[in-house]
Amino acid sequence: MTREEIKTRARAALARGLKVDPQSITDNASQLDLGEWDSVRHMNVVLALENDFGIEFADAELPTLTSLPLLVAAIERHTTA
Amino acid sequence: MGAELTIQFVRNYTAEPLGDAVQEAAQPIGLAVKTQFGAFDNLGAEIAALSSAPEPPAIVVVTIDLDYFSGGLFSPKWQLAQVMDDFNSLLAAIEAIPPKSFVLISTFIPAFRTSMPLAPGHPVLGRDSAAFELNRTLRDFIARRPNRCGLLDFERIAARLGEAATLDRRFGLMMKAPFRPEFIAAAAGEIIRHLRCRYLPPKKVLVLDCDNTLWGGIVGEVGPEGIQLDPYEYPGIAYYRFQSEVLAIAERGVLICLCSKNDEPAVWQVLDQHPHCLLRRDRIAGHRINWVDKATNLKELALELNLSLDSMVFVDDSPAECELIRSQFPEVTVLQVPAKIYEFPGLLGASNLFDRLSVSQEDKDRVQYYQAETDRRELQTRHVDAEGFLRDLKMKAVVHPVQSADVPRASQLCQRTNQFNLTTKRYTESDLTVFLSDPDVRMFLLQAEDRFGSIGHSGLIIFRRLGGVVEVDTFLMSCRLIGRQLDRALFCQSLRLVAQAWTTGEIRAHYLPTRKNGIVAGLWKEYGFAPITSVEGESYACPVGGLKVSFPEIIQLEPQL
Repeated sequence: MTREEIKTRARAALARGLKVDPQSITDNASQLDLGEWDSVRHMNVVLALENDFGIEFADAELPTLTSLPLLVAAIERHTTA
Repeated sequence: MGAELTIQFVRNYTAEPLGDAVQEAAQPIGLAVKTQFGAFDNLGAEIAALSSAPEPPAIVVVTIDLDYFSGGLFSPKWQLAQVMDDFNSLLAAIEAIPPKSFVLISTFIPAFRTSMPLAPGHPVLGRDSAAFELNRTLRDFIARRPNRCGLLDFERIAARLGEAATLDRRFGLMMKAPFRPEFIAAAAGEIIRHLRCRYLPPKKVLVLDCDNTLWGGIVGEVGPEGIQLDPYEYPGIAYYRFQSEVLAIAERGVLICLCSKNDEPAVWQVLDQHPHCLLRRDRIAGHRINWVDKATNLKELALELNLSLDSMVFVDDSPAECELIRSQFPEVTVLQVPAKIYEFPGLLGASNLFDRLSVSQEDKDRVQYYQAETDRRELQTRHVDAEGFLRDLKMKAVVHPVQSADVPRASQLCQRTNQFNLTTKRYTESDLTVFLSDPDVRMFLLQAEDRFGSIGHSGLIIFRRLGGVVEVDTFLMSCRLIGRQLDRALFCQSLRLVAQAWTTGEIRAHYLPTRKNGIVAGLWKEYGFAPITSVEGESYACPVGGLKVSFPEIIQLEPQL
C-alpha cells in the first residue's frame, strides 16, 4: 500500500468517524482545527481505522493520533511491520 | 412525518455512540431524530430536571452501566441492598417524569462469567447476580406502566451477540464507553422498534401462500395426508413452528389471509381437518384460493378488507411470485420462505414487522369483526334500500369518556385510522395520558355492536376548549364502520356530554386533507358547519343550535354493552 492510498482510506475513515464530509478534511487536518474531533469521536475514528486496515493500535499510541499525517504514519508502522 | 423527535439520554457512561447510531438508523425509515445528552453520571438530577423542562423530549432513554452505579461495582463498599435502594429511588424519580415523555429503560447486562461458588446463597446474592435482581425489579416496574415506559432489553442483545461483540474492554476502561459497535447497532435497533410502533403506521395484514409455506409439499398432488406438518418430524416441524408464530401474530390483531394457487376444497380440508394444522379456518380474515395471478388477488383482498396495500406483508416460497408482488406493489412488504427451511421458524419475529406496544381486546377479536363483515355484506345484498339494511342491523352504541384503561386503544385508533379521520393527529399513549388530566380536553370513545356481533371500540372524538370556543380536535371512525351512521351517534352523544360540563356556544372543527381521508372531505358541511378562514387545512364553525345532525333513530343508545 502506498502512502497516498493509505491517506485516501484514512481520510475516508476519519470523515466517517467524525461524521463530516471527506472534502472538508485537509491534508494536515488535526484535532486542533476540527471541532467535531472530540474524545468520543476520536474513539469512532480509531475503531473505523482499525476495522478498515485490520490493525490494532497500542494503548500508548491512541492519544498521539491527533492529525491526518500522524494517523497515516501510525498506519504505515502497523501495515509494513 | 415532518417534526423532529427529541430523544434525551440519561446515562452514567459514554452513550454518545448509541445516540449517533439511533440517528443513522432512523433516517431510512423517515424519522428525523435529535439526540440530547445530559451531564455525565448525574442520573437522579437529570431525571428530576425533566419535570421542569420547557420542551419535554418525546423519548427519554435511561441507560445505566452497573460497573459505575451506586458507588461502583468494584468498590469495596459495594452492597446489593444499597444498589437496590438507589435503583428504587431512581425508579421513583422516573415515575415523576411528566407523561408527555415516554421513558425507555435499559436492562442490566449480567456478568458473562461467574465466580465460584456457582450458586451464591440467597439472600446475599453475589455481584455476578446483581443484574438479575435489578432486571426483575425493572421489568416489573415497566410492566405496570405500559403507557409510560418501555423496556430496552440490553440483556437479551448481549445474550444474542455474545461477550466479544458486546463488550469493548479497551474503551470501556479508557472512556467509560463499554459497548462494541455491533452491540451499539443492535441497541439502536431496539430503540427504533419503539419509535416505529409509536410513530409509524403498523402492518395490519399477513397474506400467506399455502403449499411450501404453511406446510411442506403440494396438497393438490400429495393430498392432505402427504403434506409435511408433523411436529415430530423434519421438515414438518419447521412449518408447524411457522404456523405457531402466525397464530401468535394473529393474537396481536394482525389479520391473516390466504393467497394460494390451489383448488379451494383441498386447502380447507387441511385447515379444517389436518391433525397438526394450527391455523384453522376461523382465523382467516380473507382468502383468494384460485388460479388467478397473485397481484390481482392481493389487490382484491386489500379492497375487501378496506385496508391499504402498504399495511400488508406477503409470504410466499416462490421467487417468481415474490418478485411479481415486489414489482407490482413496492409498498407491500414481501418475505420469501428461506431455502434452508430450518431458518423459517422465527422469520416473522426477526422481521419486527408486527411489533406492538400493547394488545387490546379489539386486537384479539379483530378477525371476528371482519368475518361478521362478510355476513353483513350478505344481508346488504338482500336489501334494496340502505336505510332498511342499517335498520335490520339492529345497532347498539355506547359513548363514554376515555379512561386511563382505554388509552392504549384510543392511541391505537389515532395511529391506525386513515380514511374516516378528519385531522389525522397521531397521538401517542403519552399524549392521551396528558389529555386525561387536562381540564380543557374531553375525549370520548364509541363502542358498538349489531346483530352479527361486537364491533368493539371503533370511534374516537376529542374536544378542546379554547377560551369560550369548543373545538373538535380529533374525530375518527374505524374504516369498517363507514356508512353506518355511527359517526353521527358518536358526534351527537359526545357533544351532549360535553355540553353538560362546558358552556358550548360555537363549535369549531377542522378538516386536514391527506392522501387517504377524502371520504370525509364534505363531512362538516353535511353536519351544518360553515367554512371559516384557517391557517392549515380547512376550518369550520357552527353555532350549537345550527347543527344539522341528530342522533340516528336506527341506533339504540345504551349505557353499556
